[in-house]
Amino acid sequence: MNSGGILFRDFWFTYADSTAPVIKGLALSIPLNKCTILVGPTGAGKSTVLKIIRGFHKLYEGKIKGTIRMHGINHAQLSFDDITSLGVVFLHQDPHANVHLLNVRNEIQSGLVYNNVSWQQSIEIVDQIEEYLNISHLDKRCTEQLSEGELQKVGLAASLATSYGVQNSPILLLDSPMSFLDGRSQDDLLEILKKLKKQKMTVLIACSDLDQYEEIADKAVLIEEGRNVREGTAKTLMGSEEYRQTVGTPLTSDIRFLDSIWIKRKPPKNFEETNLRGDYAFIFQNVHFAYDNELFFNNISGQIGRFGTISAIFGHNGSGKTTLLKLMLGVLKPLRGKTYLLGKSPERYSPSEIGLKVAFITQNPTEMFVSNTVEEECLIAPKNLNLDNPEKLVSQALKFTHLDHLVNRSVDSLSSGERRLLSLACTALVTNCNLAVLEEPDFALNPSRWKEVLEILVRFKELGKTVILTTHSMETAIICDEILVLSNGNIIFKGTPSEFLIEKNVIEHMGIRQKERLLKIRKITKTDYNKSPDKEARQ
Amino acid sequence: MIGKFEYDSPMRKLDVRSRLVLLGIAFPVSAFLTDFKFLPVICLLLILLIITFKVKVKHIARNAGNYCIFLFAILFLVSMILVDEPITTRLLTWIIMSTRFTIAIVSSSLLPLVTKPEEIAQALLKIGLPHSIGISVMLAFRFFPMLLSKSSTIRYSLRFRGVSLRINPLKIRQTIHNIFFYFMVVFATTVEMGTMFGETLVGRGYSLHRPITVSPELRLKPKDFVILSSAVTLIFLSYLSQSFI
Repeated sequence: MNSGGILFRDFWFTYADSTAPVIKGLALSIPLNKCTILVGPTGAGKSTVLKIIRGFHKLYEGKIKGTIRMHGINHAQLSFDDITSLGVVFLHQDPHANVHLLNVRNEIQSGLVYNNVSWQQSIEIVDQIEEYLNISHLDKRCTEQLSEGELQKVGLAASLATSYGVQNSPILLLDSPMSFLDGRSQDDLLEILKKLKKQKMTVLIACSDLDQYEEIADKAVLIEEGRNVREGTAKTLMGSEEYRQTVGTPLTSDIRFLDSIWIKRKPPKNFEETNLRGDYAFIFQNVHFAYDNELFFNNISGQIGRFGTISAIFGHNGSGKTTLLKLMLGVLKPLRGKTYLLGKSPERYSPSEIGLKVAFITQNPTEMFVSNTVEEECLIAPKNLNLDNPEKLVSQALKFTHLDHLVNRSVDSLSSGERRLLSLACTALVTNCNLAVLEEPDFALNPSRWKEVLEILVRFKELGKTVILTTHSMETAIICDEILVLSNGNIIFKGTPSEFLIEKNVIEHMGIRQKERLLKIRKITKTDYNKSPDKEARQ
Repeated sequence: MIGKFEYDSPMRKLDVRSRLVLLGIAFPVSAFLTDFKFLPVICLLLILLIITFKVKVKHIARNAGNYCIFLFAILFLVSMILVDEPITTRLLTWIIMSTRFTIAIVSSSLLPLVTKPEEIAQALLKIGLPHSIGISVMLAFRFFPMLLSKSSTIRYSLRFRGVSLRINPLKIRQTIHNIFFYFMVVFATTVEMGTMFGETLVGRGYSLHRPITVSPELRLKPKDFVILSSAVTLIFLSYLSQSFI
């Protein structure tokens, strides 16, 4: 029964609402009791492979060609419930989607309740799993109050409990489990995955960057456009040319790229605008803010977004990045204190005035798109803001982002990198505004796609514009000109990347692996530091 | 706010079914006590509910305040326009109607504040309803706050592109386009979120055709019977009060 693992033979799959296959002739073997990583750019079909193994395609329909054998049995002959009883569990990329109840204990117990496992037995399993994953302290907590890292652990615990309730050897399918997590949470999850690997559990992970999983991967498979391109150990795969071309190298090891970004760092331009308070796009003074009567920001003051620079608001999950961003944009109002966006209180802006001056790009750009084609999407802002010659503005914005060849393409058919670029084109570039505010712009992008976006942001800055972004990635923060670090609602650091790299307060708040990467960057930046404007300013 | 005050409320010591009944009595009681004489009784019941549920008034106001204000305004208009009586009687009618509706609104907002949706699901299952009803209620409590937050993000991202969702008579076509596509995006997000929740649910083995485990922790204790009998008595007395008038 347990021989063979999972075997794909010339497998093709097309979603019911599409004509083009998403999986094209996949030939893949996933061994039992090992950790296998599927890596590739977004849209390559990695998540679909995981969902097919779990049997979700049986619920939605879709065209299938080829075969899959699971434990030696033809997958097509297994019903959805059969797959459940084989202990196959799936974890979504978004930790919020893995948690559907409000109490941690109930969430972990839910799978056992749904499988009609006796109450007493389910309690015992939940206790064991909580102890195994070191989350007993979360037992009585409300899931809405957990950080993304904690939510991901609870989701994993619930999945493990379900599979232990029905079968003793689970098969874990994890879809980019680290993409939402900060450095410390990533470390915690990696420790858990190491533990599962030691227990000889079968784990299959889909991700867009192999770097994070190098330590636990027994086997790595590069997937591109629905087929496996290359496989081997994580190290050999990461060293291959195919990997470098499709996924790209991490920013921290790409010295040439870092140099090209840092050389372009320059002192802020003098702005023609008058009546601006100070040299910063966002100034906040004595700000108090509370969630459900719990004080979150207690009298914080500062400024971020020096004109003509890229600034990062850095911090771990739940540190207050998004709250500060919302206060900046006037989406939230402080209990006490004052906020100034481009010299004015955010609520004093009329909708058209704010649209002309500020662009806001959400973490998931898909949430912003309301039209069918790329051109229609870009025309929305100029039409609503009554700008002259909208077609010309759109054409310039698309040219700037190298999307001019996609002008008539459907927004749905774009890759994640193209969507991110379109979100910039249809907001900041088409309106030619002064300030672009981006929420986690590196989210779900592999290194090569993120570099493309970053280059556009640097070019945008060179036009004298200001960019403020939020991130939990240290690699993203250090390529910015200025960094503000938040921790539990407090500002613990503000300065340049050179200062950031040696600041003890900040380093203590990072995960172990982030610290390792930081040391690596320190080595690289030795040369850069000598020619950086920070150094010039000091001299 | 859902399930937020469960650990510091005395209501936690009661079975969820008793909590449901206790809050449920507000509806028949407010329906039967129509006379102005009973205004102190309704107010007393309202105060008693708030005290026993130990939820701060400001939390209730945040949860139910908007509905109450809207309703007070409507009832004021109705009392002033439709009631053919002297002004004092109209005002008294407005006050009694508003109080009766307030108790109903506050009661319905108190339950989710002190009870987790999964407990409501188990209670409904214990009452004998199919588990699909309980699970739907449970998912709705988790789903709608998330959907509201997503809709607000979408609305704000559009606002920064100059897209107004307010009706502008000078740009009717543009406004219709904006509203239509805003709802399309919200709908797509709803489907996406619903699919993910559904996948999590069925992925954990939930099936409409299979029984699920019922919690043995739901057991009626003597104090639950006291609450239940008091509730029935109160409903009966308020019913009798009509013939007394």
